[in-house]
Amino acid sequence: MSAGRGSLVERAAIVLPFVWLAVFFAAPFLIVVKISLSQAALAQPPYAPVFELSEGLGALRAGLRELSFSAYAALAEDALYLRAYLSSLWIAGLATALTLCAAYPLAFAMARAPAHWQPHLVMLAIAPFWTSFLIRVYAWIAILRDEGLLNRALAGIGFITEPLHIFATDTAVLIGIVYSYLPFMVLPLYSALARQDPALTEAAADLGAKPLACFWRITFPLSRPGILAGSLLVFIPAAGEFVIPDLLGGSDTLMIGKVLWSEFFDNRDWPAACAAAIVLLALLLIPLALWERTRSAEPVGGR
Amino acid sequence: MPPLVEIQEVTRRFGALAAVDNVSLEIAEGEFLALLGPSGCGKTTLMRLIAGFGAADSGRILIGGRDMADVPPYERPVNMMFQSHALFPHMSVESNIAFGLARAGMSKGDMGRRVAEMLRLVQMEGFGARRPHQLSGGQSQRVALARALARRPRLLLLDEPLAALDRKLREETQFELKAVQRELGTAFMLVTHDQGEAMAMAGRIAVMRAGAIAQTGSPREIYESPASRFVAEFVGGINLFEAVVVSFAGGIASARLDGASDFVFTARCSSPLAAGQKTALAVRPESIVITRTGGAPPAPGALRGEVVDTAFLGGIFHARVKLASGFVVLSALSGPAAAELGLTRGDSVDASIGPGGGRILAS
Repeated sequence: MSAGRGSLVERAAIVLPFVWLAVFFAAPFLIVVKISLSQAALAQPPYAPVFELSEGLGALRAGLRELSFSAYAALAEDALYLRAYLSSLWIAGLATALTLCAAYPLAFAMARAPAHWQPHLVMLAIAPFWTSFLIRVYAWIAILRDEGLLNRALAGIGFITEPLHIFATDTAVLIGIVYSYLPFMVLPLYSALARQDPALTEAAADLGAKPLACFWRITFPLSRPGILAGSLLVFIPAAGEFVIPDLLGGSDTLMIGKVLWSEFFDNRDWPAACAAAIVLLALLLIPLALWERTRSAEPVGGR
Repeated sequence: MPPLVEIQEVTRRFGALAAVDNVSLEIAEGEFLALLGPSGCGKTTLMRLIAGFGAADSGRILIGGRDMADVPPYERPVNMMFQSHALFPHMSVESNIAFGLARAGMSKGDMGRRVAEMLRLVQMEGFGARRPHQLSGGQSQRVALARALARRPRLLLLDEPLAALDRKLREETQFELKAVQRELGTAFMLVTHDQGEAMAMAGRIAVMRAGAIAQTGSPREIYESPASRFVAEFVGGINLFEAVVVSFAGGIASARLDGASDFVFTARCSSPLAAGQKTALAVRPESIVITRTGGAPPAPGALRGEVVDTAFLGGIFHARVKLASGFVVLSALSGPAAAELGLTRGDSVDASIGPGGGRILAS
């Protein structure tokens, strides 16, 4: 090991990411955990106890004794939360599957396009990010409303006589999620597909595999890391999504993001909202842990 | 017996470039043909056309008498061993070898037997359950060979199969490939840029240059009677003396060396030449005979020069001799002959061409 300035820089390089994680991840997380263990109160901030370091260690110890799992207990008692979680996971899961179906052909076409087109196609895939997310979701209202673009177009070509009620339903939420998260699915899929050695499918064809067999036996299984990465990138934020169900969903669209919102802003029950958030985090960590395990179990990839 | 593969005036263009330019070539049942040429000469393109990857712009490819124009790769009776080996990374060695058999609808029992037989053929018994990333380069080369041979193709195409191996392993594998080919009697077409590899393995070599076949023949023919300057230079070491044709009659040409007005050499030449035409005299290094000067003027047919460099390469000994004209001749001597001569840098020697050792090139 080198001593002096070199090692100082080295140490800083190692420590900096940890500082970053501590400041931007661990600290906010611990605050949320702490609030989830507090009680709601009519105060500013709206929970108790509040730790004031200036009041000394005694007050801190007294505060710690006040912490309890009552918010979590409330969560378990109210069936609304359970239904919201299940509904969120269901909508997120369905939306992830639909996004995968929409993204795969796109990513496949991108990966098989002439090499000089590919950077442009990648740019196009992320082009929606240039516009505000909120505006793009609002635009879907204009498309999906009963007298919106879609219904007028379908009525115009005589396909329907009565407008389709899509807006303010779970279907609209699904459409919104698929649309919004498509790039997060396309990019990892594209990268997994573009990385594959084209000689692999040629070898399969040479060994008697027809095009469909080539796809299902070679291309698809080898794109699994991309499928997993894309699915997690869609599923995890979709499960906690608030804006899309709020704008496109109906009053009966139950998602945990909306429940969180109403706990925070309508009920001003911060401990309940924080507990709900922590439980959601725990639920989402399970698939992540599974992913990590499959990833380390089989080092798959094209050369 | 009709040839297994008939390539008839095949041309394949990429844009303005004809990667394969009006090539005609036949491959016989059971033969070991090497397609030899520098990179970019079109040899890989030609091989891929036979496998069905890409279509010829003109000309026909027949396999077993059947025109392959509308036959997709997965229905052709040929298999290919890829340069990268292209083993399926998500399958075991066994599944890789069985892949083509399953596509052909072979029963599980037959498949197991064939896979075992193939593993034995390439001396990889016990490796069936491994994944490709657990194999060394040499092992993955063997599995690729087993996989390509499992379907018992009539022709095996090998695309630079040994390129990924180190030199020692490459030399061993050359003999193994030859043994496998002999044992199965399958026709092999080897694509390579390595003339040593082609010479060591093939029964017949087709030398390609710029999309066209420059010469076909046995390794000996290609080596001893190169048809052109390109072939002479590409295959093995060569001394090329610039010369002018003096006369040509009955397949025998005489040519005068540039810079040595009295040195006229007579040798066989495959194509007719006109007197006064520029040509080259090609002499392999081992056909250059070196003698020490005994103070006397050089004998007729010998040129005097000075040893400028020597190299001992194990079995053979290389000497570079600078002639009066400034031309540097490479001579290869056997170890004992070199020991007897005891050449060192600066020695004055006479160089001559051994009997039957020179060719006058047509182009």
